[in-house]
Amino acid sequence: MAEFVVLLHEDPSVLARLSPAEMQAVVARYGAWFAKLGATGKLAVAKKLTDEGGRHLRGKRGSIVVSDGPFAEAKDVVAGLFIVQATSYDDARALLDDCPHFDYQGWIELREIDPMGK
Amino acid sequence: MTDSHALVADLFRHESGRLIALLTRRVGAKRLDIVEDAVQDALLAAMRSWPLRGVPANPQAWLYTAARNALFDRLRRARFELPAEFAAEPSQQDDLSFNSEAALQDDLLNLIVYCCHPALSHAAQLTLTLRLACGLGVNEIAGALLTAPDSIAQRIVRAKRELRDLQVDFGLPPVQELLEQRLPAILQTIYLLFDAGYLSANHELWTRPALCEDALRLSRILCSHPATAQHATHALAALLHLSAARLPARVGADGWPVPLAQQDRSRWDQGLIAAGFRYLDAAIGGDTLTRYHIEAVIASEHARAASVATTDWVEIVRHYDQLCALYPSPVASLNRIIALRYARGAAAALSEFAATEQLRSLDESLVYHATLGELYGALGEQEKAADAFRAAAQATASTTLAELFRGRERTARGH
Repeated sequence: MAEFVVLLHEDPSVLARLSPAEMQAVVARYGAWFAKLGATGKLAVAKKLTDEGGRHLRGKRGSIVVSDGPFAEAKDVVAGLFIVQATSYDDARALLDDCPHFDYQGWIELREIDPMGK
Repeated sequence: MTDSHALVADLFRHESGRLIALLTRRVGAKRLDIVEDAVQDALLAAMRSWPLRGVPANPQAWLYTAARNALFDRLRRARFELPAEFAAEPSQQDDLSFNSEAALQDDLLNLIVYCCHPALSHAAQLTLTLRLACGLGVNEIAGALLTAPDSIAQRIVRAKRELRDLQVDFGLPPVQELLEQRLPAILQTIYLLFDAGYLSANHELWTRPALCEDALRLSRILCSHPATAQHATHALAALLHLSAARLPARVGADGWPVPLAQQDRSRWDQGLIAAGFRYLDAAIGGDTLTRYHIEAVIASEHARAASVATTDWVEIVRHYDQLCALYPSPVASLNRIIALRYARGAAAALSEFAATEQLRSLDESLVYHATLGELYGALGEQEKAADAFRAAAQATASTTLAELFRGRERTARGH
């Protein structure tokens, strides 16, 4: 069985505009979806990334320049990372079909992990 | 999910109001915008964390800590000083006000008093209360008040600016000002809040119980607070509790509204009725007779009766006469005519309908045409009844209500 990285991209401003009731609905919907995904036994790793955007490291004339990650104004931030087990892209996609992420203008990057050493 | 504590309904909304009230008292109303942002930060953090990590055992405490930390960060970044007593508190366990129901009610009352400042129009007072105390978003307020979201957003900004310019701070005004100026505005705001949830002919969702529950909650807080526990406050609480008791019977199994005459009265909430009567007892005395008193007494007549047939309609008409004399309004007149139909018959009610000029201002509303259709139907004038029901269906934005009245039109036309 192959493994796939699932990167949840989102536009932070969309979620920041939600009302308290809408945010509570997000908790319920994502929570239920996530529990369902866990119950398939195909979820190997699930990590939420911190909200501050992280750091970007770049080499510049022999040294490393560190800058803050995307600001809240950025339109596209990776907010979560999963690894799922699936036989193919289609199989992996099927696990994500009903992910509530799509309803909040988010998008999902799906990457197969290259099995090294085989 | 590590944990599956279910979330209490409306937790985010209620905590939003509670935290805004609590934190604004600490840092002053001039920092209200920063407090709002900090509370939003906390709710956002919960929204991102809880689906994966599970809902914490004490969600209120989690949100409080997150909001407090976010507020500190934001104040620091804006280079505002932290209030010393506030910064010294290490956590919510040590924050007495967080765990005390009385302090929570104090805070919420302060917030509502702030929102209902007499410098603001009634519309602005209601809008600000919905936003700050009830935790509704701009779109939700726009939906509740049938106003464009842009106008609601502007109204909120303008109201807050006005209060800031007047340097209005948190805290109760002197007793006389509180009772003579603020309280009437507060009661009216809560009344409108309930009304927006009870029947919205212009809304896709014709009933929104959450708004009604908020109004009940706020009315209870005002009744239990010594500063606002006045006869008029109890009268409003009585009216709201007695009316809310009927909510479970107002929605049929198909989601359609059930008129009073056809409601299964065993589904009326007896706990709310009992509470309503207690508030009504407390409302009587002194020389105040507000519209809430009269409307509460009318609601109590319905609550007392086992059926429409055994309702004391003559008494109800008498109360409506009084209401129309003291607090005239087209809606009161229309309700009086509905009561007249049962007290003296449809013919008497219809001639009164024709004679009451004031009702014409309602002729684009659902209730106007629905009442007319009822009266014609009771008199056997099916063609006219059908036309009125069609007009009623056209006067509503709710597909459920429109469908209901198109059905009645078809029945009246005999197919």
